Amino acid sequence: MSGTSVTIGRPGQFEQFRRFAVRALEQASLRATDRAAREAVRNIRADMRRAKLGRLGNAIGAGSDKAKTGAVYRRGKEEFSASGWLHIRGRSERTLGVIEAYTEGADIRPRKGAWLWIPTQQVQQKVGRQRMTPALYQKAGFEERLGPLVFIQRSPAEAWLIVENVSVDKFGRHGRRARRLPKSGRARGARRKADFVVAFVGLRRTSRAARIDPTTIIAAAAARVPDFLGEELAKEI
Amino acid sequence: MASNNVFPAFIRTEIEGGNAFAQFTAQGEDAAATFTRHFRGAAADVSRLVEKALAAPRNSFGALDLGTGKFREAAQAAEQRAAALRELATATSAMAAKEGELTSAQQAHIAATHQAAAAAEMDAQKKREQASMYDRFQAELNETAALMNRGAAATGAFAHAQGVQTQATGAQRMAMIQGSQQFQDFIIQVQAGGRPLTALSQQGSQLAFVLSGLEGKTGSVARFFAGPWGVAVFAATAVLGGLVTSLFDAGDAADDMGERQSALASMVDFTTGRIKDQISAVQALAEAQRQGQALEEARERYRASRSSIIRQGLAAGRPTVGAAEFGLRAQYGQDFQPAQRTSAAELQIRRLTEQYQRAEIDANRFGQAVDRIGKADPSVRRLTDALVELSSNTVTAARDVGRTEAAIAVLSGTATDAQRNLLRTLNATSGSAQARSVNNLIEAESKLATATTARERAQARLQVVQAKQGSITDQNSAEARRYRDELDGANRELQSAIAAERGAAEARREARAASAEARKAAREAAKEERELERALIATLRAFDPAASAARDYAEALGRIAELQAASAIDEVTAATYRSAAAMQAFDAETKAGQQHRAEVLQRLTPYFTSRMDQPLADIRRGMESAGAAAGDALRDSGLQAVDAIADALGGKLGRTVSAVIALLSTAEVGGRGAGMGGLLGGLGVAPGARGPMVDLPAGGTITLPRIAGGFEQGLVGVFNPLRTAINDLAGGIHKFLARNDSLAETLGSMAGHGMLGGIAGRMTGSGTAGAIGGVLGGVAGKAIGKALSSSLGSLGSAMGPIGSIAGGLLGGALGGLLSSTPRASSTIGVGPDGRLQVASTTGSRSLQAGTIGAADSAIATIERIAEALGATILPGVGAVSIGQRKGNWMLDPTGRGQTKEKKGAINFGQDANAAVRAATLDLIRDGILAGLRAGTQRLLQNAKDIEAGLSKALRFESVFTRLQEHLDPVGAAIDRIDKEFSGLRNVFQEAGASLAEYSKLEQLYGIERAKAIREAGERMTSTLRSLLDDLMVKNDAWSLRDRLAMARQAFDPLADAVRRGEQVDAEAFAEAGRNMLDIMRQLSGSTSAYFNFEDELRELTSSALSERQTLLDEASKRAPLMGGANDNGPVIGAIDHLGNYIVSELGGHLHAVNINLGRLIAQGGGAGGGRAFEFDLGGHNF
Repeated sequence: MSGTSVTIGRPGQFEQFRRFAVRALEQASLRATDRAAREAVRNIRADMRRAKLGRLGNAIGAGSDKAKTGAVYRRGKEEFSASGWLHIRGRSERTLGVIEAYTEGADIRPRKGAWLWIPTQQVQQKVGRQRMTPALYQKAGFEERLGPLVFIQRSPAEAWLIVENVSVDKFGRHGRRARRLPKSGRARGARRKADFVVAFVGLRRTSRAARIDPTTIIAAAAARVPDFLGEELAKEI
Repeated sequence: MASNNVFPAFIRTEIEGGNAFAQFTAQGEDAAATFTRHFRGAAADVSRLVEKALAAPRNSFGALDLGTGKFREAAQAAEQRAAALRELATATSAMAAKEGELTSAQQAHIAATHQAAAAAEMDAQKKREQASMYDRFQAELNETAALMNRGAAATGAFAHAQGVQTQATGAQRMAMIQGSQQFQDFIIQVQAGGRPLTALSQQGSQLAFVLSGLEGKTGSVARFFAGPWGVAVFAATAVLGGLVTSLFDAGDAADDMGERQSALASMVDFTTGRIKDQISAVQALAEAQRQGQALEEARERYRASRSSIIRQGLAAGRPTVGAAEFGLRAQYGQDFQPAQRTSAAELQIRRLTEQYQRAEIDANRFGQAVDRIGKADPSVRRLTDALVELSSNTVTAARDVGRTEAAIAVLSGTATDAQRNLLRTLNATSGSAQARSVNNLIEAESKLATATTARERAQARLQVVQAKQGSITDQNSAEARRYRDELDGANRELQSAIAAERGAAEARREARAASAEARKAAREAAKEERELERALIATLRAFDPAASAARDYAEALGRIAELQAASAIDEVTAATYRSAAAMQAFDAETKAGQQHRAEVLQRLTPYFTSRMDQPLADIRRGMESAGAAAGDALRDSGLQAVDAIADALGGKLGRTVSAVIALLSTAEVGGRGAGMGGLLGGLGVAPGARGPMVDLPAGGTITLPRIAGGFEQGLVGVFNPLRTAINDLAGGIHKFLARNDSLAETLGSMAGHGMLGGIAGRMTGSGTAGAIGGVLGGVAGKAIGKALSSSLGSLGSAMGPIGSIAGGLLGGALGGLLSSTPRASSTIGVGPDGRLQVASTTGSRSLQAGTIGAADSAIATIERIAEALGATILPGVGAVSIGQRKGNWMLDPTGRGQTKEKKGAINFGQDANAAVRAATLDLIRDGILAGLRAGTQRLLQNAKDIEAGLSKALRFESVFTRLQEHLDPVGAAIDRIDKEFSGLRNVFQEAGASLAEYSKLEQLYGIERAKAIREAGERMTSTLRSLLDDLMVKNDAWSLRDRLAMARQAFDPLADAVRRGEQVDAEAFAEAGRNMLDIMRQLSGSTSAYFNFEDELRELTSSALSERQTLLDEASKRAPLMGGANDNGPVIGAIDHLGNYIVSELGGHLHAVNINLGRLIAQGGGAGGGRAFEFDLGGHNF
């Protein structure tokens, strides 16, 4: 009997399978991380709305390798990584501060001086785009226009800066600020003379509690990645 | 710049362990090489031993010489010895009988002699039988050899016959060659113009001579024609050839004539056509001439009319000539012009006539104007009538002229668009009926040609038919009947088109409606699905252990921060607590992650097992096909070799060889092979069941480092047993052969014991078949395929001629075993602990992982449904099996583990999820869920789809739940808690919780239940309480002092309890304090009484907080903070709320305080001394 030559299998089948498997996993990973990132930012925004933070959630953005490059980061023949991420869209210190305060909580203290001065409704709230402060009050000329500030310590934790001899709204209506008293010393019209008004209330400190927990939300979204991966694999295969 | 510890956050998947596939290939090659090496060694042993067996001596018959003469001699010797011993025993007995008295020694001697004789006789008998058997065996061998000799003789005869046949074939070949040449000569002769019969007569005789050398009928016929009869026949043919040729010539001439007649007819037709064209041209010319003549006549008439009208107009403007005038004219001639007496109408007519003459107005207008004048002045009526008639004739004549000109232009091909339009208009409006009919026909044909819809086509066709009516003169003619038929047909067609259009419109409406309904249904289904998904996601999130751990951690951090803010703990202690909380959170998240990984693994496994391995399944099928082909080839070769051996050794002995090898396969290989086949057979379907596939560390980063790594480990786990099994197999063969150092002896021994069997039956029934088939069928890899290909390909050369035996057996095994069916099944039933679980698993172990995973999925789904609906699972009620067969997912509703469709299993193809859903639904239909409403049960059991059924059931149940929340909020809250803790109890049972852990669960249940009852009660009574408060404490109708008294009634007991250091309801205390503070503010304003009460309240609040803090500290010392047993969050929250309230009230009264202070200053006094001041309220309600 002569030798029998037998060829088994088709060349390239296993390599095709390997490529298919790696590609399927790559695409599924890209989509899964993209979905997770988008879900996380969606939930964060929803929580912010529920926490009465309005559209502050729009300051949180999401991205992913799928959206950015559409490709995974390969390391070697079969290793790779795919990511989705969340970031703060703006760079302004105010935005960062607000988000930090409401996501991690904040203890607000004066940066200089002992008092954190909060303007009352009796004085102008803003000068230009800057929030009113005692220094700005002086700088903007309100001492001449309304009167000089007089410090009164109400308690160890509270103090006032008052302005003497001004005219105020006779009926105490909201939004009617104090004005300088006419030289005659008598208020006219719907205004009356007030011996003083509190222009600023001073506090030692105040705090803001964290209203949302993005870490938990992101962790929950991250925990969903395997589910997403499974679903995406099901689409891919 | 502010920094953020949360953002940016990354969610990442990482795939590591990237050489899984390479390792798979390497291991496959390694295993194949090992297999090949051992197999070659074993085959060499087999070859050597069989060759030794074949080298045995032969006798005169040419058969294997067994040496039967020696057996016979030995048998005779034994018989002689037995006879001698028998004689000795008989003689000894006789001698003893004569002596009469025997000693014991004599008796023993006699008995021993008889025993020896009996033993010798038995030995002789055995040797006789052995010699007889060997004689028969030798006879068989001799007979076989004789048969072989006769076969050789027959082969010689066959070889002779083949020689004769070869000679005959040569003769036939030569005859064919020469015959072809004769035919070629015949064809050439005919082509050269020779007569065919002549050529046949010349070449036929030579052809007959050539074919006469052939055998059979062809040769007989040829020999006949080659003889005298052939000479006669061909001579007659030569004579008849001329006649036949003439006949053929006559036929050709007739054909030529027919063709020429046809050409003539064509020319006649052509000429006739040209004549027709010429006649048409002549007719057109005549028509043009006639039209031209008519034109000239019309022009002439026009000119005449115009001249006439001018003349008559002039005459009309001339006065009547009287006798006198006539006389004068006669006297002075025609130039006499009497004085004119014309009326105004006549002057107008004259002026119009002059205008017409100057061509300032046309005849039509002229006639109209004159007619108006005539109607206005009867005196000139006669004249105006005449002028109107003349103008009308003129207009008619002009039109005729224009039409004629246009017709001529059309005929001559020089017509302008205006002329064609004019002609068309005139024909349509004033033409003849025939012309209108033609126009209508043209229009109708145009419409028919441009119609786009069936209805338009039908209408146009009807118009076409109707337009043809004008050309019908005789209503009774065939043409009229055809017209009516066509009309009826067109009408029917139109009606049919209208009906079809209506039907189509109706169908479109229905389709639109159906589509809208379908879209609506799809929307509703999608909505339900989304709601269900949301509900499930929310439920899963609520019970997500990782999220729960994160929440606990966040809460712990919050509490630590609160304690630190309240200065209850220092920074070091807080750091320690935070560290402990972090560690505990890490442990919890790790545990949750592990659990989640397990779940993920379970969920992902079906994807890999059922779908991702499709390429592997393809490879496997290719391997099976190739293996089967290789097996068939090897088996055929092996069978031939076995037949050769059988011929060489003799029939029965040859079959014994088969029996030996079959026994070898059964005894030594079968058991191992079966397990080995299962191992590799399942390679493609359960790769992910080994090793961790998903790694989910805590924190915001997710990694999936070892999916491929797990796959790799799975492959290693599969291949190591494979390699071991192959080694064992080869080793087993080797040992077997080593134990039997002489195959000839083995064969002889087996032949002696009659162990003969049929090789075919053994081969097909061998257990080796399943083993090796499983091995090769399961190996999915190019490297394995290559290695096996090379090893099998070199099998024959490696083993020599004897290799065909083993090759044939192996081939048979391959052929039979590559078709073995991999299958496995897992049955869901009652486990040892009485819970629903995978009760049993059968079949291929490599497939079992997949089926177990699917069954677990179905169980998990059942448990989730039961939890969602608050149902109880009755494990013993239903059973169902999920299995895999040939790569397809099968479901056995009876739970017997069947995977064949003909035995009742349901095939779901590659869709594992569908099988899981069906299994879940089957269990529900079996009534595994108890404690449900009958309607809910029906909805679930009658559902065609588990998701749809569950959605309906949830909606159905929600009605009662929501209704209960309205009617019995407390009961609904308790039910909700009971349902939740029922699920938790199952979880505890599954976790094997200790008694202490159960007591914790019971404690939590009591707290949660009380809380739920309290909250529900508050929701029920809060409105009434609020109303009561509004009527009493907060009622402005009461005096402030009365309200203060009421508020104090509520506040004082709580304050006293706080002073005594007792635990009070913090919220009630805070609420009472707020009321008191509010009323005191209104009653006392900014006097010392208010501030005193404020100080008192602050002191009490601080005291209460301190008490809580003490408890908290003690609890902190007893147990970690993460225990959550001492939740003072509500108290702290209430106190914080109270503090915030105080601060806000302070801010709200700021304006009034300003004013009051101003008043104090203005009155120059202080606020002491109990003096009451009237304060300006400033719009605030102090």
